[in-house]
Amino acid sequence: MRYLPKSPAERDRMLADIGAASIDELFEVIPAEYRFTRDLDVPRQQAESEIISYFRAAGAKNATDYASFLGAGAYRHYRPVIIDSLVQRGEFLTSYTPYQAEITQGTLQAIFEFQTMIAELTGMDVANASMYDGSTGAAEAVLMAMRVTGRHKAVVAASVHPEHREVLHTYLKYREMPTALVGYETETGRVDLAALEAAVTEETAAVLVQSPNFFGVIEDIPAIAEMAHKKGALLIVSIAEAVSLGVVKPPVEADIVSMEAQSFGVALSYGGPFCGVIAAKEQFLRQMPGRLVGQTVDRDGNRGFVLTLSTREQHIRREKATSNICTNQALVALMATIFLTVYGKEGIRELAEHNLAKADYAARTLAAQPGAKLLFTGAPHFHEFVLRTEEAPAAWSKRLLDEKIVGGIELSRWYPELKNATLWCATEVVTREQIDAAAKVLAAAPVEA
Amino acid sequence: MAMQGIGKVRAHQTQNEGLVFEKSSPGKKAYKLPPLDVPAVDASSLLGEAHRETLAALPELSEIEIIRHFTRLSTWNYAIDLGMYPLGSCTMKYNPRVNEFVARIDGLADAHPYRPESLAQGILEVIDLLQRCLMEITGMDAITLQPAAGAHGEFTGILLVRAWHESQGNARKKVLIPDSAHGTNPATAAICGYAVENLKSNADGGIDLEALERQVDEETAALMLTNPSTIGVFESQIHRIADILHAKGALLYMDGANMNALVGKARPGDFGVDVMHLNLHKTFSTPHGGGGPGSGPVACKAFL
Amino acid sequence: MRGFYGNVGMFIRALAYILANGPDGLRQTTEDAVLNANYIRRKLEDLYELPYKTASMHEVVFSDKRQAARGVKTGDIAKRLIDYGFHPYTVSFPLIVHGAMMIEPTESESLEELDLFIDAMRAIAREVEESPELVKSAPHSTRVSRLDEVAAARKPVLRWRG
Repeated sequence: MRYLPKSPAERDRMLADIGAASIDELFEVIPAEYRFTRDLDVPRQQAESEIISYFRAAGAKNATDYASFLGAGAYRHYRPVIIDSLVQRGEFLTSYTPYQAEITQGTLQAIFEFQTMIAELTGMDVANASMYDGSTGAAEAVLMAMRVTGRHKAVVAASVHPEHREVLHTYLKYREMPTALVGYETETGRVDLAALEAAVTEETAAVLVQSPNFFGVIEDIPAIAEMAHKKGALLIVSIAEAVSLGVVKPPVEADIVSMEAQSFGVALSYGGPFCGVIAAKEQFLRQMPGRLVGQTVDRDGNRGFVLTLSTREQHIRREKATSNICTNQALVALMATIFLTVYGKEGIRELAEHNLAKADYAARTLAAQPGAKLLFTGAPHFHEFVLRTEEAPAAWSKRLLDEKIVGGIELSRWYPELKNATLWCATEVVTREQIDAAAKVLAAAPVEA
Repeated sequence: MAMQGIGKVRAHQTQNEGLVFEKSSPGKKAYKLPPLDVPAVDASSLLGEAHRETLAALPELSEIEIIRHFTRLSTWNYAIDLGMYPLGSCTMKYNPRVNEFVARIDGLADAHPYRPESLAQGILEVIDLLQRCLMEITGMDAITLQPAAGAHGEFTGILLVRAWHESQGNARKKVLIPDSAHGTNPATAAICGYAVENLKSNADGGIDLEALERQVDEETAALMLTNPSTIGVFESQIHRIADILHAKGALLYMDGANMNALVGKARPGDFGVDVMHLNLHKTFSTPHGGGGPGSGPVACKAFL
Repeated sequence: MRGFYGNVGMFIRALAYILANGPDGLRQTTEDAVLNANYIRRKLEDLYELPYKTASMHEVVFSDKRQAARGVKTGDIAKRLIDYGFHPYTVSFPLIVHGAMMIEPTESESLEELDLFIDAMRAIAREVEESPELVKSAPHSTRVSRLDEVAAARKPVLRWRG
């Protein structure tokens, strides 16, 4: 077996040194009736070339040459080549969580840089070293708000990603923490402020909204913050599209920001691994879940970095920990750090503006087709928009697929009231040609007999 | 000094390197966007109040500086690729490079999770084959690959235990955890709404059967057991442990962190485990990457 | 449980590993992992305390009992291993072993690398007898040494400010 660095003679020598007659002797602690004696029924050992052929064939079956207008929490952006060159350095790829600070300064300093960049982008004071993804991050943020306030209720906007809401529901299920759902205004797609005001009470720990929200609409964060704070609740803003922060004002009025950083150079990979992160105001630091890297000095006064405030964590606190999280997304956070360094201060703005322009053109072009109409036009959008068509989406989706275009996603699977409405996303990688082609297909509805 | 002649190490070349922010200067760039093929927009009029006026203080560097910065940082890390990494419980094995290669293949790496299933057949086949392999390796009947890591898998597994007890009419109140367990175990049980009851190890570091018999009752939801245990010992009384639990209607949960001792030699499904999680980043060679990402599939018996 | 389907990128890698091994490779992998741990146990048990004599599988747990008598703790020995070119073992876990030294070599180590590790551990055991201060102040070969974790937690600096 090519990964195993031992000759048969070496194995024999080791067994002799141990004083065992055979390898089976070392497994005798397992009761005989539970010892597995046949071969596992898994595919036979494959050559490297066979493995590559297998996965290439699988990739080809997935169809690679389609234009795509899908977004909804997973975004297609260009990934600079140096991201993969750097994260595949064995020193990053094959090291563990940096518990031994002396020999993991590389990972530690990179995470410290990540924390700084995320804090800068979100307008928060501090950010952690990453969470599994945006959905679990948002759920952990709600739990954090409950610890901070000592209250047990949450108010959640219906315009938060439906799958994130589901995850939150799972996380809260056995903690007797009821959530109230607040709808959206039909003109703007923003959270219904009157309903929100009514829902937030003296018992509310957290108000959770997403901005840009699931419909791509930017919420009125200052107004929402005021409502939450008036009742002593914390405001959590979830950001599913991190690139928006290049051009959209950060939610500085929020107390906690939960962000999915996948857009920063992380491959879609059918939905994971992604990279969640929680950022917050400094005063909530000690209730934050997840790992944190802090700056310190060594015994000679040199600057260095360590994992810090670990008394919050499971390996110290066990059942009293702020979260059970252990493994995080360090390597994915490194991808995001490199991405943000490549684009830098000006680049992230320019990139966000390109997204804005593509989506603006796509929205106008698609909405100009007969029977098509934009919803939620009363508030600003980033790079996603909702289109309502007279023709059923199933019909034109099929025509689009024939042209090798994946159109917007149907919203009725989560919002039954939004019939014939689809959510479209146009990032910088979508071309004008693709937008025009999609529009042409939409326009070509078969004439009714 | 004693090290002479036997130490494998020599001073490793590293260079000093500041923070990326300290190397930044305005006007340097490492990116170039293609020309915009649609009309440019005025962001501030489009976004109004929501327009960002003050840019985030991200660093501004050229590409070569970025390469050097992160390469220099990397040289400050120890790694499996540099030598033995005997971190107990973490299974720091070789991370095959072909794994990295195939994960980046077109059609797999760029697949959007909401693409129509007709365009995702390849990835679904991969998922299906992996599930079948893992069920065979564990001897379990069903599996979910969704959890993002071991602790996340524990959470899923204990929720599964709870859901099953609820379907039997009583969610039960406590979870037993040996004092040798990983810290994630009690943290998980607590967030699933269970009281954590400590189980003292016997003189061999294993489960004390008498104590177990005393502590298991009709309010016990499960025992969370690591096998082999965290001291690297196989619980040879595993079938008795399972029997004691099952007699009171409690379930046996296995933390699969130490599956690297069992693959192909013994299967949890055969020795009485009802539900367990695996760590793909331990036993199945996916890279630790300085702390993640991981993956913590949960496998269980058919009745669950 | 979480958004979408899970960490699909990790599934691809895990399946590639299973395919590369096949049934025979997976079994041999497990056998080698157990062989390596038992080899280390055999070669170190005269110098380091084995709190549990039960047969080891893929990892072996020693304690610092004998070294602690000289004022050297598991954490010090771990830091000294860094000077010998190894990553430390897991320190102070599991909690049932006082001063635990938890060693999991995995199957990926050659006999040569295992012997180097064993030599290093034996050399450190000698150093504990002859010059315990050397071990207690390790590591000596790294860019930074013994970072001040207390200061880091007391006044957390979690981001750069220009």
